[in-house]
Amino acid sequence: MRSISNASFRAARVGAVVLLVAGGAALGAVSPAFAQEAPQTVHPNRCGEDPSYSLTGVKGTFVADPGKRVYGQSGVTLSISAASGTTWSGSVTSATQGDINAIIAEAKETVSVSIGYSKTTTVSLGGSWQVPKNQSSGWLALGSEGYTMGWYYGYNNGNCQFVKTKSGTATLPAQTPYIGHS
Amino acid sequence: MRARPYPAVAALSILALAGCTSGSHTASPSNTPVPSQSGSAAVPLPDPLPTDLPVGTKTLISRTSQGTQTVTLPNLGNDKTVSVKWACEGSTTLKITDAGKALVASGCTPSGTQFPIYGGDIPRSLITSTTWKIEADPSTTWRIVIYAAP
Repeated sequence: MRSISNASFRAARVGAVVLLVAGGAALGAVSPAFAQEAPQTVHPNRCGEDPSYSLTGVKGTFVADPGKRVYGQSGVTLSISAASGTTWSGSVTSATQGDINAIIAEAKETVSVSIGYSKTTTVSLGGSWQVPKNQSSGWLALGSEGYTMGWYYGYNNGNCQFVKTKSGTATLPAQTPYIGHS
Repeated sequence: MRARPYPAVAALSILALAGCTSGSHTASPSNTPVPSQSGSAAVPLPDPLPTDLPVGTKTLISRTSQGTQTVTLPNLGNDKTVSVKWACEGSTTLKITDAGKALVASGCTPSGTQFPIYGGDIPRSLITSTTWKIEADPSTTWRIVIYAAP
């Protein structure tokens, strides 16, 4: 509905300017200042005006909650166990709660419907893993397959130039949980 | 490095952490859940001591506290591995260090959800002293048990 209203509004404004310019050319009465300002309010390419969120560089990744990760040095056998009902969350940088909601809605629509900000286990999970000798340290974590991506928010100005006003990164879980290590 | 799924992530029955059924521990800690610091106490810190430890396992340290604390391990004798299990409530991390070197560490979980139990089996060769420091933010509450299995 909003885009239809804007398009109608834009068409009305374009029509008004065309009439004024035509009238000015015919009558020679349009001031130079108005003639310079008028094109800035016209969107001949019909570029979008609505503010929008966009996602970039979407990649699949293991999404671990930093609060559900155990670290150790080489040779240590790490373990983690989580009861049913344990929640793990992703992260979104440089974002308000409103931004997060909008980014997740965009990600659900364009990447995967299973994306969310957090997930909760419905079973008990546990695992252990020895940090191999060829690593100086390692970690074991509760998480799931998910996605990492960049995000930005912006709008098109009067010259059809996109103006980016906010940006950050998002790491969001999408699938059932498992224990990952590295 | 890309994370790999751990192959044996079958649903383990690790809920039954309330109690030492084998009777093999020399100093089993209290199994009373520890209320969280938030006041809401929706989920208490779980007892991190496993229930399936082998006969002859020695509990070296069992402590519930908050912030940074030092613990002194008793004589380790011929123990080849010292195991640590812990759970923590807070918004930062918990680190266990030996002579300034981190042996194991983890994130901690704010209240309001289940707390994972973290663990580390530390080879004797990595242990240089019997005085370990548990490093955490002053607002972080933790429950830890250190034991040596035969």
